[in-house]
Amino acid sequence: MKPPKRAGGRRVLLALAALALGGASYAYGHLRGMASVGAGYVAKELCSCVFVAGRSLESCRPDVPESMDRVRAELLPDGVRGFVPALAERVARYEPGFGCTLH
Amino acid sequence: MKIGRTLAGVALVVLFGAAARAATSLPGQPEGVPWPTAEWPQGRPDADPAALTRAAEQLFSDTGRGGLPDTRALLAVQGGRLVLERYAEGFGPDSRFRSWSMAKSVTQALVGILVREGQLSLDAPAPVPAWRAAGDPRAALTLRHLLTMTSGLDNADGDESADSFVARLLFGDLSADSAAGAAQVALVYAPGTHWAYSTATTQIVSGIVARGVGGGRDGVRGFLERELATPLGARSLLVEFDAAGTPLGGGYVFATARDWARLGTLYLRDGVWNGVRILPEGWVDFSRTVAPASNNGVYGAHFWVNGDPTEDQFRPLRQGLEAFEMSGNGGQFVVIVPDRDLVIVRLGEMQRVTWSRLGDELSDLIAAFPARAAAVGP
Repeated sequence: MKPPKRAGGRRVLLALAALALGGASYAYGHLRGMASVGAGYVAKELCSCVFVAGRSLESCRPDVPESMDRVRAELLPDGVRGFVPALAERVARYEPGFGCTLH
Repeated sequence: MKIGRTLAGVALVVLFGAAARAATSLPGQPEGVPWPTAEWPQGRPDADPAALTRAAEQLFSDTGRGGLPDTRALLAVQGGRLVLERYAEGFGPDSRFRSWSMAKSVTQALVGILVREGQLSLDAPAPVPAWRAAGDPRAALTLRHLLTMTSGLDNADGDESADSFVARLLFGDLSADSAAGAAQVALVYAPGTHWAYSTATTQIVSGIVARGVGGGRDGVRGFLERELATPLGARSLLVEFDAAGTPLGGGYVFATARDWARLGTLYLRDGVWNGVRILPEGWVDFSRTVAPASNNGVYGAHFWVNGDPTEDQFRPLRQGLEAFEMSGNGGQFVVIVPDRDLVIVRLGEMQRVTWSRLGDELSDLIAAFPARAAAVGP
């Protein structure tokens, strides 16, 4: 019934803490996986919100769960890039008639 | 006539399985009310005005972090007429809203059309290439198992964390080819015995639909427009795709609130639109009949049913309301209420409001409308 509403944030925080405490490559790999899901979520959600729903990026952003506030978004001419610097990046591109596709 | 109806009834039982209990008959379009293909006929609600106003106010009272009400669109269609239409500031009749999991019900409609055309069968082995190897236990799975979420596959959505199966599927490492990622899981329960909500399962179904219409994004888009959107006049209906070209039928369909109301009306009217049968006979009853599985009391076939939930399930609407619904993350709802000849559409977010509170508010709204006289079927 409920696709992920809070995918990312808390786990990312936990993983960050683990890393800071000297956690090894496992934690880093896990973190990257989490960050990648977050980047994908933000890119896809915001791309569809802007290009399919016709809203502004500013109006769409608060609809992305707070837990993903660390994931940044860049509006492209034909899509949205979601990224966590040095960790993950995903791009969703818009095509008329087909909406946004995550790449 | 009577014999004909009896035979039709027998055929329906054979085709779709017997209903667990007699449900209210689905109301036809009232005489003199035009179908909403071109325009929505408007009307004044036949409802308790104070209760209706109070319920609508409640629904727009929870404000999220962007300063907008969680409810962005609220529509009521009674007796085929649009009797309530309200939007949050910045939204209107032309705004497209995302479905989240209501997309599953749209995917189900596409399956229904392919069944009507004889291209798919509910009880034949589901055509999934990855399951065709000799001795593969998944070869026994049918579309009925998939649509009722009783496949027994190890692909339940899981929690809302980033490493849940659904998050990986839509946004993570499985997102490039969601149908393939969704199908590559083991069978952990005998098919038809255990209910588990799964977006992955709908992605498997989406792959079946895509292949059924000839494959490719153009094929899917063309089929959706030709067979569903155009007949209903739901011109805003749009499905998105993964990078492999599989429609994201598990979670990403967009439409205006008025077009969501058209889709709800199609189901309220038993799959017939202005004299043309879109969904096969008995399909809507299949949709709204609780699927037989020991741990299921509220799920039909890619539609929720306001039944008696088991321990792990949740029923958003108040007990006793006879309704079935499309429902999605963020509190998306298209609620179909046959005994009140009513469709309620609620679209938006759930930043502040909770599922139970939203369910109470929607129940209050529904309860403001009277039941139809003598509408109860056998």
